[in-house]
Amino acid sequence: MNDKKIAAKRILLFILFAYGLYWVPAGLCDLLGVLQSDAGFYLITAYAMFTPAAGSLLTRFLTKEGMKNSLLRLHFKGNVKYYLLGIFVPLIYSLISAVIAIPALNVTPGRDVLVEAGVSPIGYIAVIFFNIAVSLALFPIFLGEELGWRGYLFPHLKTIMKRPAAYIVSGIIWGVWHTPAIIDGLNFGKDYAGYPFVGILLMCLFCICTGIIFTWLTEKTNSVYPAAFAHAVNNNAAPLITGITLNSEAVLQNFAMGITGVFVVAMFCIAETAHTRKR
Amino acid sequence: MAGLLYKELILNKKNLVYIAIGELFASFLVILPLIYQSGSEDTEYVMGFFSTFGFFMMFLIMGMMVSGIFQTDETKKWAYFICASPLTHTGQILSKYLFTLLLYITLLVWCYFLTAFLAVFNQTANFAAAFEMLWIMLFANAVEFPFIVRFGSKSGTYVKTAIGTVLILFAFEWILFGETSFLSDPEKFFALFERLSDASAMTDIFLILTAVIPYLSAGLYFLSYKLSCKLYPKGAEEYE
Repeated sequence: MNDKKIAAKRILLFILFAYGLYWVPAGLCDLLGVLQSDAGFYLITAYAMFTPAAGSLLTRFLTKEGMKNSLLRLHFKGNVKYYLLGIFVPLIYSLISAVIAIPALNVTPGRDVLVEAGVSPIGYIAVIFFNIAVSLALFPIFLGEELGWRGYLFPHLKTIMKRPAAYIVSGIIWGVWHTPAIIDGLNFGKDYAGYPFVGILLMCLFCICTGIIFTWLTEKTNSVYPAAFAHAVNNNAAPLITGITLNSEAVLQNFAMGITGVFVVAMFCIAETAHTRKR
Repeated sequence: MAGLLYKELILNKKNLVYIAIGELFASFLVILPLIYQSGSEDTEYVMGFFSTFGFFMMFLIMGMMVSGIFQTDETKKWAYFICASPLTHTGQILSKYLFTLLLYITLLVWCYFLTAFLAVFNQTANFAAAFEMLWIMLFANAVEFPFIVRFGSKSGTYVKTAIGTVLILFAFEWILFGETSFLSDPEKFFALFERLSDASAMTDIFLILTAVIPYLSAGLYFLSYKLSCKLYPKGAEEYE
């Protein structure tokens, strides 16, 4: 069997594990009504974040691939700037989204969120920094996802297809993986036109763009940790920045607007990668 | 570095078992709300108090046990060997600091899952308390570790005991002469706890403080590592 066939077999096995370990328990819980509350699904989602890592480990074990190229080493020396970028990139693309949103949607910054949170602008900034610290301390949860998507899926996809196609395919696989959470309304609620397909489509778009950024961080450091930091800050602190400019009730609109900033930064990452590869 | 971290894991196997047992007992305090489920508001504050106290105990247990990590290889032969290795003594100290940090982060993730688990049963646990305790304990360890490195784990323990004794003396003085009427009145006590846990009543100064503490502790922890690296060669001279 040639290298491409072996890689394709491994990718299929990985997808089977990453999806199966999440979708089967989530579906069963939903069917049996064990975890009916939002909080219940929150627990399942927290568990789910480890399934891509579990999928990659199981695939490595079953295909006798071993732990080579697992990107688990820190490679901290000389890469401090990329570690810092991992923390700040989600804030940068959120700020870009917010700047685009103000004229595009004709909104007044801080209108809803500050009143809702009952804090002053300084207090809100403190809350953002507090959430960044929480995100960084909880990075092992996000490492679970990054070990699978960036540490296993993308490098294997790259061996069977061209880089741009690998970005798109890995983003779609990652986005569709979120389906149980989207169906349960965890990301966008359930009250929107085209539920849940529009939500899944938007999530795929978001995952393609963020996937490009996280892959860029991973390839620059040859380590999954900066991507795990970025993922953690993206989920916990970045929404506080985009949220400040938008209507807190239009969750789907907020998310769609949030993608604009991610897209800008993703384009920069593609250009930088192309430039580096040319050299 | 991975090898040194693995060495820490093997050398501290016993210590880790004790920590795990202690943490399981403290976790029981956090899940007590499940046993006393009730919809009344008063009970909610009692439950919030239990989770805060449980998380506090969990990090306290970890904080007390982690100083044992330095005790495992306090011998001259090892110190000379590691100083002559490519990683040098900075690698040795870094592995100890990283191992401690990893233990705390593992505990925080455990607290996160406990909080999520309680949420399934519509009970709230004060995860923010666990998070702040992480940084407070790191702050305490950042002060303690250079003493351990320079004077050995026994002397380091004396320093920790001395600080603890001073704090207990202050607490005694406060209990004897301070305003403690709220401790004997459960209603007053939980009213105070409610005020402290109410997010909407938090002032800007309180929010800034809670945001600054993690960064301050992380900075101090890094400085403590740098100081320990400088102190290690002198401390190693006094090993047996």
